[in-house]
Amino acid sequence: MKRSWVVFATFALLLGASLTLLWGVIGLGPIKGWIPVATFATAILITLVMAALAAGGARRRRGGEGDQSAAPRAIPDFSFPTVLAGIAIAHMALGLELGAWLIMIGAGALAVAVGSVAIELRATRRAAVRAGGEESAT
Amino acid sequence: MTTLDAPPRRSGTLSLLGLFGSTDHKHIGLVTGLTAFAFFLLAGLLALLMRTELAEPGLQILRDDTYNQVFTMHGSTMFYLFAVPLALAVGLYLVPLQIGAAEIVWPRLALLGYWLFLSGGLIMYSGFLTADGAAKAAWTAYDPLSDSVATPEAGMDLWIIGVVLATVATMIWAACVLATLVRRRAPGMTMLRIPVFSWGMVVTCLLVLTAFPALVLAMTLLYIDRHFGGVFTDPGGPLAYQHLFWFYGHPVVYVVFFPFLGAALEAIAVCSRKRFFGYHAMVLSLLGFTALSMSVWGHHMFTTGGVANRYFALTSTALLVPAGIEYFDSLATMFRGRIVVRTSLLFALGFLGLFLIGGLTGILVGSPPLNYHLHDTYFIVAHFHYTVVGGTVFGFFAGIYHWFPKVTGRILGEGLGKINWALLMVGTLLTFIPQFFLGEEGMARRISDYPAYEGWAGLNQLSTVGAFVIFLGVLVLLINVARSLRLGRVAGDDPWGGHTLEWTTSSPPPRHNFEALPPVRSYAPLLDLREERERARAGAVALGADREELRP
Repeated sequence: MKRSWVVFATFALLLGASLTLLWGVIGLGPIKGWIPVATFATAILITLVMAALAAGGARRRRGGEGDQSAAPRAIPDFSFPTVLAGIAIAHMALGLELGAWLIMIGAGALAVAVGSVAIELRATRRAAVRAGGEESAT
Repeated sequence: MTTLDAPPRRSGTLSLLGLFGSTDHKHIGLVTGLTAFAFFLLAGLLALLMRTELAEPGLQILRDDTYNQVFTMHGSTMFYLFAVPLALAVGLYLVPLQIGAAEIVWPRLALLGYWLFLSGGLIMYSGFLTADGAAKAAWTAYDPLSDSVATPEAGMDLWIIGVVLATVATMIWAACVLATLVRRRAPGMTMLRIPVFSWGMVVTCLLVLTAFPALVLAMTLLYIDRHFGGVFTDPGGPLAYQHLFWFYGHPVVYVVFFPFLGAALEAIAVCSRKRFFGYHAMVLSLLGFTALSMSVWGHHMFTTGGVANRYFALTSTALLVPAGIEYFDSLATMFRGRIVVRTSLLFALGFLGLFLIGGLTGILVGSPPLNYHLHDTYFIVAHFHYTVVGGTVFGFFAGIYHWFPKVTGRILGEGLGKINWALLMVGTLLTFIPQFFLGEEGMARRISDYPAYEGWAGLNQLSTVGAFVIFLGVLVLLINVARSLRLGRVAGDDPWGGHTLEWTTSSPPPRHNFEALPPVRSYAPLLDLREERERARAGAVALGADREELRP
């Protein structure tokens, strides 16, 4: 089995069978206990979205990107803006309890962090392009 | 061998700051695992407090209110901050190595997940610093016990925020690991050649991504309900909360089981020096097990009278079928194997034995008539501790002894390891078997005291002694780790004769994991390579013999 979407589709199928059985037991009339059915159906939907994403990814790879699975990607060894983003989100969440001032501080820190990650991404991309250019020149 | 474009770089020594900001999946997995283990130690101390309190009738060291906080934080820590993050941490570390990937997909997101998880844990525990203490509505936080009338304290709000942050972190990690499994497999590594442990991670991530959103929703609604009201206030509200909670709450048991099942099975196959038996049946049974595990949540709610008991009893009992296949496969792997009794194998066997007790008693409580009798008693406590201690802790310890050489470059001491195993085994049996009897006799769970005339003191004392034996066992592990890191035997790349790709690279692995990869033709590429070499060697020897015969 080369295609990973088959795994997701099989899982969705099994969940679907289980949901059908549940629905059969609790009855089809006015939906009794709609929450279990709704949560179950949402889980199936999420699985189907994952199957679609996996199938799309596989198609893109077949369409020219090739299998670069084992090759390392250009990425910095450390990402302190990401750490800042995590701390900022935690501050914002804690601000729900301690007050709007902490949410503001968290939001400010998050904005700085997102900006820094964007700079980091741009620098990484440029470095990768440069490395590619040097490689082709040699 | 497939040679990779970029030469590998050594991870080298990292500063503490570097370790906590690294985008290397191994560092993220390692710090997550270490943090989760620190939370495990904290939860263990809370458990010892509880067991000490229950050793005698009457209140000795805790007040009722403090006891409620202690058991709430013990359960919450074990699930939200230890078992689930640990399961994903092991996946973050090992999955790219097992499938031949240079790194994980979305490493920044994985790093973000770590900081959300750590913050969530600290926020949850910060409840102890508030005037009225930490949350006290159990790890389930049932409404109306957790609403603003019954539990108005800030500790409960902090708990909800902590749970949401830790759960979102888990979902992020699951997405990263699953995307890596889908997109970064080495050439030749098809889905049906993924090692058993990594298959455990596939189904774990599926569960996390499909079931955990229900918990985030439940916690968000609970927070809104506590501050603005009107969510769970109508008569069906508490039942709606329970549906949402258990839609997460049952699958989570399998989230903390499948990765460690994979770890135990890898240890069994390697220690049996034999190919894993029934791989395809195992993969199918894992998928079936996962789907079924999402269909049984209602058995936690039999006594509410608000769920389809027939359906949930049927699905709960059906869990025996995939579980049986997995047990059969693991025993058949050992059958006629050239078994080497290492500590990892002992823990793997302990895992199978203890989880069997948890699983079989699970079938009992999955039957509505018995469930009505045993609901909310110590029988349930014993049952799920056999699944969690047996399934998670023993499986994790099997994994520690199996993969410690890969992570650190040194072998964990076998002598201390066997003492570690014996203490944990005796401690677990001594702690939780008496609780089955206590539960059957009607001792309710989540109580800080019990009347002396019930005659439960003896069994409770046994259980308390057992808890301290477990503590000793964990202490031995810590000593063993500290000792082996300094004095342990140097491991080399493959000290056990491993079957999977992580054993081809150095110990610890370099930044981008591999210098070269062997061809992948099955789920045990290294074993294939070894067998191929043996066949070639045997062929050469036979050829040599033929030449001898032909010589005049």
